[in-house]
Order: sequence, then C-alpha cells, then structure tokens
Amino acid sequence: MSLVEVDSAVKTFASRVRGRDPVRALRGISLHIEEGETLAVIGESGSGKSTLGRAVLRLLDLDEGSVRFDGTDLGGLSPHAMRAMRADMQIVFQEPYESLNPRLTVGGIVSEPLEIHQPRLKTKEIRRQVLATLDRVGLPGDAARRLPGELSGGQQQRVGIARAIISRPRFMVLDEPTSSLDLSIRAQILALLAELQEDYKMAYLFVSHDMHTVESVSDRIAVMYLGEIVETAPTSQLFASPDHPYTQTLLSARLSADPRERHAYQSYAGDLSVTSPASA
Amino acid sequence: MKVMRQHTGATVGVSFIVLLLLASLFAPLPYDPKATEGGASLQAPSGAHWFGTDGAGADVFSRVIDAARIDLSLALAGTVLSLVLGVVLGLAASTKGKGSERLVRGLDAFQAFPLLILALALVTLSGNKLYMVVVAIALINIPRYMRLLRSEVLSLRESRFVEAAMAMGASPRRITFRHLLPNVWGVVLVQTSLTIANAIVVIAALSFLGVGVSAPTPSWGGMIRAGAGNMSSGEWWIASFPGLIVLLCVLAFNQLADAIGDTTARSHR
Repeated sequence: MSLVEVDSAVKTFASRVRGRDPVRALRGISLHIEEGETLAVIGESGSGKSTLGRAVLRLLDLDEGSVRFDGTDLGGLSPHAMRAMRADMQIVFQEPYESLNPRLTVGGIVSEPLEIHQPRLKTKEIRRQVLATLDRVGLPGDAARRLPGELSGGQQQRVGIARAIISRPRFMVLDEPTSSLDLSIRAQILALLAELQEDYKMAYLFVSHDMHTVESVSDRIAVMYLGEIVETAPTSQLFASPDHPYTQTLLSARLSADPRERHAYQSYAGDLSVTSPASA
Repeated sequence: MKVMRQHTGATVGVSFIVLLLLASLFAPLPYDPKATEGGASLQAPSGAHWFGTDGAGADVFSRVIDAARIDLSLALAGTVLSLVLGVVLGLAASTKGKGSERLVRGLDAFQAFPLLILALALVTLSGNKLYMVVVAIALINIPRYMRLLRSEVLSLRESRFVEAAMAMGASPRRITFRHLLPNVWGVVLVQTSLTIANAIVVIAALSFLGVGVSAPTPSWGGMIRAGAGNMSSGEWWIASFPGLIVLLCVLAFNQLADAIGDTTARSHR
C-alpha cells in the first residue's frame, strides 16, 4: 500500500467571468506516492498542478475521485478527524512571506503545529523543540523573537519549512518552494529539503514548473498538461527518453549550455492549439 | 517627515481630548455652569468671563468644559457598543455565501435610510432617554464596522498564511483569534477613532435639534442652538466657542485615526 493514493480525481472551478466555461483543473488524476519517496509534478501555469497539491491535502474538496492517506479515505473524514490527520501531512508554499502571519513572531509561527497537535506539551518543551527545529533548518535561535518581515526571503522560507517539519509529518507537499527565491538561495533550500527527507523519512510531492529544478531531488516525475497526467516515469528515464511530445517540449524549454544539443527535442505542436484548461 | 507631522498632530489631539475630559471631570470651574446671573447676560469675552456669557447669564467657558463630560462619555459609550457588536456581527457575516451577501444588501438598504432622522425619531419616541442616544449611535455605526470587518476578513481568508494555518490543522476558532482578528485590529482602531468623531457630531446634531441632552444640562449642540439666535445681533461667542470645541474634537480624532492607520501600514511590511 502506498502512503498517498489519488484515484481519478476531478475538480472543476466555476469561471469567475459569468458565461465562460468552467475551468477543469483536474480531469481524472490518479497517482501514488510511496513512503520516503519524492514524486515531482511538472506542468506550466494553469495545468492544475497546484490544485492537485491542495487536493491531496484536502485543502479543497474534489468533485469526483478520492485521496487515500495511509489507507484512510480523506474525503470521508469529519473536519475534526481531518484536522488531527494534518500532523502527518504538511505544505511549504511558493510565497514565503505571504504564508507567514505578519503579526506573529517566528517562534509563534513555528510553535503553532505543536500547540495544535500536542496541546498538553509544556511551554518549556515547546520552546526547546522550536529552537531545535530552527537550528535544524539553519536559522539562528534569536530568529524566534523576530517578525517575518524582518527576515530575508530565504530565511522566511526556512521558517515555512520549520513550521512544516516540527510536527514530524510523513508527507509534505512542496508547492514551488524555490521559485520565488534567488538562484543562490534555491540550491541551499533544495539541499535542506533533501537532508530533511533523509533524516525524517518523509515523502514529498514536489510541484514545479521547471524540470531541471526537480531533476536532482525527485525519484519519479509526473508531467501534467491541462488537468491530466500525460506521462509518469522515473526521473532518469524521463530525461533520457521522454515519451510524450509535451514532455519533450518541456525538456527543450531550457537552453543547454552546449549549442549542439539545443535542437535535440522538437516542440510539441500536436495538441497545443488547445492551450486553455477551460476550452479543452 | 510626513509621518512625523501626522504623529505630532495625533499627540496634540489626544492631549487636547484628555485635558478636556480631565478638566470636565475634576477641575474647579470658574462659575457654576448651570447658574444664571440676570445682570451679567450677553457679556462679550473678558478677563472675568473668558468665553463671555450667554442669554441667561451663564458663563460660556464653564458650560463648554462641563459639556465635555456628557458629550464625550455618550460618544465613547456609543462607540464601544458599535465596536463590540459590529466586530462580532461582522465576523459572523464574513463567510462566502448567499446568506452573507443578502445581509450586505440588507445593510445597503439600511444605510440608504437617513440615519440622523432615524436617530431623532428613536430618541424622541423613547421619551428623550439618554441611553437611546447611545443606541442611535450604535445603529449608525454598526453597519460600518460590519462592512469593514467583512471585507477585511474575506480577503484575509484567501491569504496564504490562513491557508497554511488550515493545512496545519488549526480549528476555525484558532484561525479567527490567532490569524484573522490580530490582522484586522489596525483598521478597526482607525474606524473606532473615526466613529468617536462621528458620534460627537451626531450628539451635537441631536442636541442642536433639541433631543438627547436637554437644558439646563450643558451640551455643545444645545449651546450652539441657544446661541444661534444671538449670532445675527452680534453676540458671536455663545455659539462659536462650543462649535469650535466640536471642530477641535473631530480634528483630534481624525488625526489619531491617521496616525494609527500610518503605524499599522508601516508595520505590515
């Protein structure tokens, strides 16, 4: 049994513009994630990849299909039971600053999952764990007293990661955790995430729009296009021999350092006349 | 530089209000504000009577200061009632859904009604009870708080950090008290300051129209009404000084609102 199993997930959003067709963000997605594994979901904006990340955590409800976590159907849980379940599943967001409450100190932010899931924990023990976790993600202990606005983007993302790991989840959704960061910080954050996965044996669902970001950190890659997964393969295999023409387009989207390789892949012309998830 | 100036304005304003309140509560007034001296009526401002005397011979300065006690406490009571009910009802109405949207339409209709007339009717029908003045102020201001709360909270609910709190497993109650309310206090405080200013004007308008605080108890609106007739015959001081005090009070609270708005905007990022 896989840790996470998504079966034929369908999610349609009503269009904000009256009279427009609804947006079909997920069109029957099935996937599974094993314990300790990283599955990367790659797609361009509008492909439904962030919707998928939220649906897996039941931050939004599916129209059809199911998500099972450790064998439990999340759709069948009461709000109370679902909240208790969240100690085991966490998320790191794309926008580090926006994901932190500007009125809380870093200590207050990071301690919150403990306060929620282990309400009997003593203040002193919470403090000890917060400091240990801050240290684990590479933040100085005095960061606990600071407000998120006083930190740099990279430090803010470390706070977001500390908050996510403090309840020792078995599974995390990483929703483009590095795409708003400077290039030099990106590598550090990716390395940190890889180390934490090693230490805590977490499974990751790594949502990204860039193949090359996830190349070094993912075990398998699922390519999403207009609400469907068009191809899933182990990372090395996908890079070596991409099956689907859309995958080939994605791979050729980045210029190689070697000009002779630049035209190795053809662009995906087949279905690309249909580019909007609404009209498809 | 601009911020500094605004904060100076707020400091001056708050000091003025506090001084006025303290004087009305504790300071010995030069004359009994309700006593009348037949011989000394309609005297221009002088060393003996700083703001002059009114038609009945009462000292305008003593009356203006004494009026602060009742006018300001009514304004504060009305504001506190609006604040508490407005925030609670506004929070309750801050969900996405048909019900809460209908409620907003209802508020639209209610606010389209001339609220001063409503207040006038309420206070008069109750037999001129002072607590009805407080109720009237609340009726005027509760919808404003509700709208403000609703729009702020609705946008906060969409924010990433509230989504993060839900992903952590925070209960709705925890989200409300730890993530939503602390992030709306700034605008609520600004609104509160503006509400006090508005309440002072409403109370003055009501007493000007002869409801609410009634003579011989001094009130700014009542004094303006009493002195209005004397304006044309040249006794400007009877209506002008209470008018000036109302103006200064409103200015003071507006300055305070500016300063609060400024501070919260800055600490936000």
